[in-house]
Amino acid sequence: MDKLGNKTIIGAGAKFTGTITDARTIEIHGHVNADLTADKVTIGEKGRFDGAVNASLVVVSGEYDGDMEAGSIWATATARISGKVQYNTLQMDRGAALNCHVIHNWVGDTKNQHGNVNTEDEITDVPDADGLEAGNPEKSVPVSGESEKKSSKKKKGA
Amino acid sequence: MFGSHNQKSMPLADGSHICEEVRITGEISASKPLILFGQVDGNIDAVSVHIKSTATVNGDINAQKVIVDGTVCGIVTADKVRLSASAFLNGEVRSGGIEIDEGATIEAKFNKEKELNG
Repeated sequence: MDKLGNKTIIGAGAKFTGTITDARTIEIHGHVNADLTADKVTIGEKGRFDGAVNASLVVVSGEYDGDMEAGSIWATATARISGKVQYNTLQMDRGAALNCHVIHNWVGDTKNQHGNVNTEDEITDVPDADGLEAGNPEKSVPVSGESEKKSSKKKKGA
Repeated sequence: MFGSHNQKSMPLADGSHICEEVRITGEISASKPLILFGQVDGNIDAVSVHIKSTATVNGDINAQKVIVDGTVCGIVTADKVRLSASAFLNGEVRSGGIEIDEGATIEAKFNKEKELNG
């Protein structure tokens, strides 16, 4: 039993109705009707899960119906998914059945996607430019920024 | 990430296992053994239930065989009940065979009943 470590298992033949919280790793081979928060969820080939799931990784080999929010979803060949699925990365094996609303959830990615906004900030953040900001708006091109740097040094020297 | 998951490695696919940090609210019924390390708020209906020392059950338990090492608040109905030294029981026990180890903390009513679950 200790071999199982932190893994929670709802075995075949088990039925559960309710909510499950704080499960790290959970395997479902039975029939679960619940709201679940976990790190990693596995729905086995003969497992069936109805309800909301919030997890970083969900491996679906059985049947799922509900509202799923997951970092990564792997739908194996025997997966049957209905309901609504929000994900950042999705893998589908040949044969997997998705009958659901699928949303690529960009929330986690938006910061990286709009990184070009940050590059402008970086230019204005050149440490030596601090004293010159009043006369030079953020749009200054890096090259001109360098020349300004030099000029600032000259001023300091004088 | 996906590739590392080996689907054949299911050591206890037969029974159910609720680990320590997990908290469950609701009804469980299982036709295979159930082992609890975490907390269950709700009723349990199973063939055999093992409530480990870290586990807490707030609810009624109905099974053929129940082993209690942890905490139970509720009515335990079973053919065989074993309360070990670390057990804490508050409620009622309806059973044909009750075994209590020295050290168990019990605040319960006992009923000896025969062949409850067939």
